Amino acid sequence: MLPQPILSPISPILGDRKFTFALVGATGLHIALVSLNLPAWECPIFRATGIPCPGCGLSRATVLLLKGDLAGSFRFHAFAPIFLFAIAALILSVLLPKSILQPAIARAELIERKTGLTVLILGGLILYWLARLLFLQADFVQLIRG
Amino acid sequence: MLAGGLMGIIALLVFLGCAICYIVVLIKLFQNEGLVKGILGIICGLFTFIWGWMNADRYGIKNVMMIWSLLIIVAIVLNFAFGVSMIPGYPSPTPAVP
Repeated sequence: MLPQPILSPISPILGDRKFTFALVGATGLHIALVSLNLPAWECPIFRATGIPCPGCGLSRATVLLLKGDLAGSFRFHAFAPIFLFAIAALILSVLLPKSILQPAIARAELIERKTGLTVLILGGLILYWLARLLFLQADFVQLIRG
Repeated sequence: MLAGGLMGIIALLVFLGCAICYIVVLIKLFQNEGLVKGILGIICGLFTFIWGWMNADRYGIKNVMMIWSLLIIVAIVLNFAFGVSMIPGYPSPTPAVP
C-alpha cells in the first residue's frame, strides 16, 4: 500500500497559486511557440542522448488536438487529451476564487487518494513510452525528431 | 562545412549541459517531493525547471538553475540562428535550384 501523499501529488500543486501561475504561463508560451513552429523548450534528454523521454511529442500532440486533428495527435502522443485536461485544471486553479478553489482541491485530493488515478496515469504513461521504445524505436525517434 | 561542424559541437555541448542541470534538479525533485512528482518531472521538463527556480534557495540549486537558464537561452539563440542544420544527423538545407 502506497502512503497517502504519494497517491495525491497533483492536488497540492493546484493549491500553490504562485507555482501554478508560473507553470500555466510557461506551458502556454511553449504551446504557442510550438503551434507557430518557432524554437521553444526542448527536451534536454532527447537533445543530449537522442532517446525520447516519456513526454516527448506531447506538446505537438496537444497542438494538433487543439486544431482538431485527433489522428495526428494520437500519432504523436496518446496522452495529449489527459495533458490538455491537466492544463485546463491548472488554468482554472489560477482563475477561480479561493472560496471555490479550496473545496474543489479537497475533492480532487479525495478522488486521487481513493482511486490512485494520478499514479495509474503516470504508470500507464511510462508503460506506453517503454512500448514505443521497444517496438517502434526507429519510427518513434524519427517522429519526435520531426 | 567547418563552421557547421563547429556549431554542431557547440550545440551538443549546450544540450549536454542542459541535460546535466536537468538531472541535478530532477534528483533534488525526487529526493524532496517523492517518486510521483519525480516521474512528473521526467515527463514534463518545464515542471522541473519551474520547480527548480521556485525552490532554488531552499535546496541550494540557484547556481545550477542560473546555468541551466543561460544554456536554454543559448540553445534558443542557436536554434534561431542556425536551425536544425547544426544538429548532428540532420541534413543541411540545400539551396533551391531555380
